[in-house]
Amino acid sequence: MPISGLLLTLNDNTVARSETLAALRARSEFELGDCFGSWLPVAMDAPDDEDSRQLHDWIASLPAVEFVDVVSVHFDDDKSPVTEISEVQL
Amino acid sequence: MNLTRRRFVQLSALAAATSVAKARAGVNVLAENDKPGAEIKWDKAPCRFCGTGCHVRVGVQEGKVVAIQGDQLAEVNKGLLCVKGYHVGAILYGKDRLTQPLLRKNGKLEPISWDEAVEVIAKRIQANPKSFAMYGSGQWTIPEGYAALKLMKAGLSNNHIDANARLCMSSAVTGYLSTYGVDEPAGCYDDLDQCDVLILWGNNPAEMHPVLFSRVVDRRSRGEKITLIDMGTRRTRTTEYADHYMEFRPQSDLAIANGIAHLLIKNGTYDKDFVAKHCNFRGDTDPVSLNGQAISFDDFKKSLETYTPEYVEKISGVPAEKIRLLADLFGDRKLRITSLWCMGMNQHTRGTAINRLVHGVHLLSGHFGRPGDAPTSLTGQPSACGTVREVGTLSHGLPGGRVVANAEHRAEMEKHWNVEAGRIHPTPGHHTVLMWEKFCTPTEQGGDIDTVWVQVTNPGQSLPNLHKLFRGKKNLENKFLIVSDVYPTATTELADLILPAALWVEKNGIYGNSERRTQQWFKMVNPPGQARPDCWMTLAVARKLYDLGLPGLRDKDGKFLFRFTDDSGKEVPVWDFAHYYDTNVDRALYEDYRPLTALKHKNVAPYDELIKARGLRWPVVEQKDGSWRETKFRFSEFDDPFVKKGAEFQFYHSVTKDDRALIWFCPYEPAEEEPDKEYPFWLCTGRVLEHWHTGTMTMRVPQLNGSMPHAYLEMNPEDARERGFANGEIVIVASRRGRIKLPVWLNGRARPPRGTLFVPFFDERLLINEVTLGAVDPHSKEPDYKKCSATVCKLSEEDKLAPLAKR
Ligand code: SF4
Repeated sequence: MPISGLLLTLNDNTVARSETLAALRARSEFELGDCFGSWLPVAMDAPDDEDSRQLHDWIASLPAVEFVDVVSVHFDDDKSPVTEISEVQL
Repeated sequence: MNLTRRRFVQLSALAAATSVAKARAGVNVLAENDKPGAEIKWDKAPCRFCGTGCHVRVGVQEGKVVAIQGDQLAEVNKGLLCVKGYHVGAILYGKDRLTQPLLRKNGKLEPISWDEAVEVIAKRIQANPKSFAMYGSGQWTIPEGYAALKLMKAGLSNNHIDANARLCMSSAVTGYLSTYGVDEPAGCYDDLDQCDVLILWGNNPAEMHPVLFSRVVDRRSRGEKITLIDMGTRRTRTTEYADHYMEFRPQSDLAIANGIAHLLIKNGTYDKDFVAKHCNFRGDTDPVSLNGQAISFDDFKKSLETYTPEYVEKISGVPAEKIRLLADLFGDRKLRITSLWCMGMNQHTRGTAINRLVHGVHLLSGHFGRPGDAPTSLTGQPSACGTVREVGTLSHGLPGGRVVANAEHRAEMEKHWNVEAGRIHPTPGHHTVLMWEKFCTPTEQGGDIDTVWVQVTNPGQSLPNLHKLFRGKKNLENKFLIVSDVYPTATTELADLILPAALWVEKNGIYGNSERRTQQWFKMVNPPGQARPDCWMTLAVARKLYDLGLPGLRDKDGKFLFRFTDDSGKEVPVWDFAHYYDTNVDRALYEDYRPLTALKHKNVAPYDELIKARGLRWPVVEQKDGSWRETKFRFSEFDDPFVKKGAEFQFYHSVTKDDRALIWFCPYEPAEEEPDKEYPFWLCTGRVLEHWHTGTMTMRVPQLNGSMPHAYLEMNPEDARERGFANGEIVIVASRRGRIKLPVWLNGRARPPRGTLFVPFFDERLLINEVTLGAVDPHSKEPDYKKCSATVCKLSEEDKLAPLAKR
């Protein structure tokens, strides 16, 4: 299930910005970081690839979003434990 | 740890995005080191990692790199970096930097002085210059590579110099050479901004060249339509963005390319005018040769007859209608189509062949030479193009596209270097795999390489079939391994002499990226302890050999082969490190090399122009007003200054000497090793977003290590279920050559189809290259890391595995 670190470039229209932030906060797939200048970091946790693509399109359509850059991506499974390297050192 | 893996990953993703947001907003990403009041001094440099060649702004405060920003002035990345790039400054400050030369005495590494280290190397070489080899990489700067090449080929008359780039892009080189008669892409990254269709031939730019991929995805954010086609053997993060995903059986990409060509001809949609004016047809000889033999259009058409969509589907698993879709796209001249590829096509025992075929599909359909219409290979290393391909640091190469086997080329270089005729040996030296095989073979059994000096790379992890090609050195007393590096690695483990090296902005440098862009930077901070630049090490050893009286280190006039002078013409003793920075050695070596690039019309820009620019794409030609103009699109009259007026296109280094490119027919052939009853899986290896190459730098950056702490075995859940594997369970991956234990990751980051396995190679504790094959392409000698047969079993079932093949 894809989890991505996204960087949104926002325009400086304050009304559009607050609408955009509200829309993002309303959805459980997103976790928002602090905004630095025009840049808003977001973690996106999508149920599957198809949804992930739709969510990207949805973000791109938000009124204050100019660009969406993907800075990290994980395809993960809830059941997967964090494996400490000591466990796999052989 | 109470944190679920999912929550951990969510937090890592947010942390990575936050560090990028801060960096783009000008907030210091290494801010903990920032002392209030002290001023940060900024300068430019290309990123140290991949061949994309992004430019970064490097912030230095009190002698330390404290901040990194994407460079807004850089055309490549326009201010953006990937998560690795934002953390590039931290690679300088791992706790275990090598800081002094170490010599193995009675099995133990002991500190020695630089004088002693240089003398040890020089005496090894002097004792037997012919059995000495140098092994570098596309991480060498251009001056470092040029100095090493000159020492070997002119100083020692020895062609045993090769580079890690042999392992990642030499099939791209042979593809370009046999198609256009000259290496490197005709197009550039601007094609990504202008294409209507982007076809990814077995590569995953979302993870491997993320800034280029963002450049494409950003176009969609701006409302532009771009059709993305992902052809691969497993779903990747790139697939998530693709309009069409075509999953093919490993090795069958050749059948797909032939299937497209078949339909272009059958449907009459190939570009008859372009082909008639600018192309010839070519087929293999028996035995195969790089330039093959002429065939007619009718021969070509006949050879393709069997590659119907249905036949291609049978071989590749790609549905016939998808092959038709590809052919229809190529058959539409209104569209602009760019193809991208990297290791998937290059690390292939048919690497040269598939490179030729992809060029051929573009030429046949006329999708060539207009912005957005281009077949373009990418590189994994920051200067695979600049140093290895252009300087020619390969066993057969000489600077500027020359080769040792060509008498004229040798004579030109002998004249340029002012050495007597016959100094350069006409026989190519050992290519990478052969060099290491010879080093790991007892001398009395034909192992004619006794000493290898490794600079800026990590063959102890990156070579295939490691037991045979690297670990074989272990018990051979007379073999001597010299390694210059910045951290302890899998290679230094077996080293007899370790040299601490300066890294990235701890020295001056010049790189050349994937789009022919030459990029320069200045030293900004001091290296730790006694670490020194590789270029200095090469020059110091050369001087020691001169002092010891080795004749090759003198030119025709009896002077030292590497002479650097100050403004008054007085020699600067750069071999003495106290004087290394009395002159700009980089500038001198680069300006000595620069005229050599004109032969193949790869004219690189003057050093002083590079200082001003964020890189310039060759050929760079001086204009009437004294300015210098770079070239975006080679061989096209509208942009390439070397194309004849009125020609529209001109392949001026054509193999057939008639300004035409070659369209090849190369048949699909099964892989060297395919799954069977004993080893029923295809095994593929590769990279991950967070780590670069063998991870020696990125594994020392906590943010990157935290996101991806170790290697894993990516596996289809059905295959795992059949074997009773649980997610996270440690299992054995085995081939005929080796076996390692890895944690299973069901589906992993991708979606491997049934019967396939994927393991990343960045983790030095979990060396998948003990398992890989090492079979090479016959032309490029590049090994296939993307496919071999393997099996998997539970730890408790190890005794049921077939015994390993004799090493
Ligand atoms: S690793 Fe590659 S894509 Fe990332 S910033 Fe560096 S050059 Fe750019």
